[in-house]
Amino acid sequence: MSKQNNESSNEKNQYFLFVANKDIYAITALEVIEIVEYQNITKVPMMSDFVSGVTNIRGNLIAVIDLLQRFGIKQTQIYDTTSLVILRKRHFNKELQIAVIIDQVYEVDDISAENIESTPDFGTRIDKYFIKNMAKYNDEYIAVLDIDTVLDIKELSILAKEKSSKDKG
Amino acid sequence: MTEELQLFCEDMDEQLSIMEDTLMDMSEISIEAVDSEMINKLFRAMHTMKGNAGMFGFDDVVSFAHVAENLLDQVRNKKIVLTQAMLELFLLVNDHSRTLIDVTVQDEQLDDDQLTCHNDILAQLSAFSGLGKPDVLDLKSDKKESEAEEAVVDKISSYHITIKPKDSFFKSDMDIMAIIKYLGVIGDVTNLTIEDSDIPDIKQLEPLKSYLTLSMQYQCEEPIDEIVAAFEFVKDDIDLSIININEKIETENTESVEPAVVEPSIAEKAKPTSNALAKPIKKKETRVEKNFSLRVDSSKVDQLINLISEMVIANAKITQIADMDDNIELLEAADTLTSMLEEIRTGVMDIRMVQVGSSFNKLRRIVNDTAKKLGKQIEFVISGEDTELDKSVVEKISDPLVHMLRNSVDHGIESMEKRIANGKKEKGRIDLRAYPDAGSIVIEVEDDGAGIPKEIILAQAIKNKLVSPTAQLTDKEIYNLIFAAGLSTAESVSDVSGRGVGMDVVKRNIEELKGTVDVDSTLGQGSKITVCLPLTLAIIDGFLVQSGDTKFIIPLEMIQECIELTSENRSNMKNNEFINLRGSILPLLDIGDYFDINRVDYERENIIIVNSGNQIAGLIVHELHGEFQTVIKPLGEVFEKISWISGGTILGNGEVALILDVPMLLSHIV
Repeated sequence: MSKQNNESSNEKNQYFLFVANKDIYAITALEVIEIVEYQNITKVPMMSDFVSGVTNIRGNLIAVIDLLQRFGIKQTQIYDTTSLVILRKRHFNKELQIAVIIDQVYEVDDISAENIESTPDFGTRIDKYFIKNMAKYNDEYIAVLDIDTVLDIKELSILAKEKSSKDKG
Repeated sequence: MTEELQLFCEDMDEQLSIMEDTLMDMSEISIEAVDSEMINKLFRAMHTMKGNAGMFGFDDVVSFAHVAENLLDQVRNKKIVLTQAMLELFLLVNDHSRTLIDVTVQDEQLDDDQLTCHNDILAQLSAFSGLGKPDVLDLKSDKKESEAEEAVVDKISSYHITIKPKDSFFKSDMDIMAIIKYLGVIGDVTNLTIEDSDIPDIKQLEPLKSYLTLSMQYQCEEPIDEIVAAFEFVKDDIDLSIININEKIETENTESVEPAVVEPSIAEKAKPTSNALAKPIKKKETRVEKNFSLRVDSSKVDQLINLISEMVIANAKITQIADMDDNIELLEAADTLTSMLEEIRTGVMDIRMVQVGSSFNKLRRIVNDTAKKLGKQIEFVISGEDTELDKSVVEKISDPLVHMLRNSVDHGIESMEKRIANGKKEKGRIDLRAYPDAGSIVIEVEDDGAGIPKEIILAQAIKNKLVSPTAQLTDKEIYNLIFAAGLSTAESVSDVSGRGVGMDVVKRNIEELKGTVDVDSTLGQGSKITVCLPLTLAIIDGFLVQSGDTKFIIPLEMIQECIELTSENRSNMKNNEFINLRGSILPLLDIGDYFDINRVDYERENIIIVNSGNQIAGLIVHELHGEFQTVIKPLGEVFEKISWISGGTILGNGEVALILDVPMLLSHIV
């Protein structure tokens, strides 16, 4: 059950909206490669809590990130509607694929530029650090995630146990 | 670059390698022992090059190759005695041909240095063949066949060739001009005329039919068979007559019959590419030299391997469904598919494997040149050329080998006087060996030189603050210091080696290939560097184990044995993390504990005894799933800091297992 994102004419204004822990978040549709049903994830030991592990997407190993843990909320529960969103992330000259766990797909829709506002300095449920800007959608403000910070490779790759970092010496 | 040109370059490269190898063979034996087969080999390579270059109209290459070929021909016919100097010259010819081809293909001109070299070589070649003035190339370079040819070759035959393409010739998609061009390479085409009297009145003219007849005078030293062979590909589409007119040669040569230049307008227009014919002929020539082989982009092979892995997974799903539905027929079909897929996978893997021989042979030149530069005499012995290794590994190992060999020649083998003084044979010996050993390939470089002076290395290392002065190092550890960056023990830095870079690069390159490198040495008797490489980078034989809910692959070659961790063992451990294995201590590492994996209760625990280098350890896991052909996949940047997991692999059911890097894991614990 995969849904390719539809790259139409005004693709820049297109957003992928999803539910995580009853909140709606948005990601620029261009950053989404595909959405697949939740599937078995192999935990990789000694990684931070928010790195759920790796999974197999058609023969490639892809890291899976637990968004809620990344935001410091809680561990994502797995339901029938739980999905994996595969995102593209630039890392130096390479384009990486990283998956995040979401509770439910909400919508793919256009949000025009005038409905995009900057993030307030405080008051958002998740750290401002993870938010690119706020989008007004159906009279509700939803956070557009900043994939560059959410999926910052440097932060993701930190080992949970610092005792294992002695091999650097 | 067009595909034809690419092919041409690859072909030329091959011929040049054949030449170089042959020359190296020749220079290793005494000059009297060179047999005619070797000279023939050289000649054939030179000749093929000349022919190929002719196909593409690279006249400079042709005329250069021609002069060299002439000399070879004289040697072949025992008119001239081969000398050592001649061999050296042919090596130069080999190098220069490469330059010349590169330059020509790039559509550039030789620069001044190269031109001097070019003319110099030509002069020397001509001097050997006893000819006065060589056919020197000027910058305009519009010379064709050298005049020298006629002076040397006394058995030129003359032919009158008539080519009458059949009516349907244009449908054959062949280009007659390409053949004539080729004939021009192996001989002299003169008085090429087109007979157009058959062309009917414009109303009757059918544009797709051929009405022309070509006739020409032709002189060459090749036998008539060779000329006929040139027409091999069109022989069904033309009426060909070749008449030997040897006796008439004197008279016809002097008078010019008709304006010889002919614009083959119709033929040219009907056939857009003139290379179509050039290719088949070229192929035919090279096939004599070697087996037919394919050059395939390695990413295509990787793609295949990926696809097959996915098919295996898809098939596993089918098996699962068939199992659930109790569909025995489907199960059987899936079973057949499974074993066939396995065969395909092995087959595809095999494509990547190449023999190390050809890349080893290139090293002979390096040893030879380096030795000559340093005034040393070295016998270089290669064994195990037929050992097969993954192509990508072979490519990456070549640079480290060059470094190692240069080092052996420079630092290892002593100067001739020293060797004699030490009662050794004056000729040094370097062995390069390759052989398979327990799932990996071992490459050894052994020399009978001075060996590694431990004290000097250690002193140098201490001086460069690589080790602390108080450190107690074993001999092995000291020898391995030569791989440390910034350590050079050569008394003087030569332009061959000794700048202290090199051996650390060697080590790094080999580790990148997931291989290991080790040195051993006896002072005064020589040293040996042993490189151990995995057969392939893409696949390993693994052993699938499970701890908690996480599955791991342990490389099979690391595993010595598996035993059960009995409750008796447990109680004997008394909270120590080791057991007594047949009288010696076996330290244990519980993978589950170490990696903080959720514990489940297990019926039994197992110890996998792994052996890495000199270390033996037991890894405690819970379930053993058995051997598994493991396709290694990178885990990606997110996991790059975990050094003791070398990657992941996808199991039959689509799940992911992590591949343990045992040496890293062990070095981590200690």
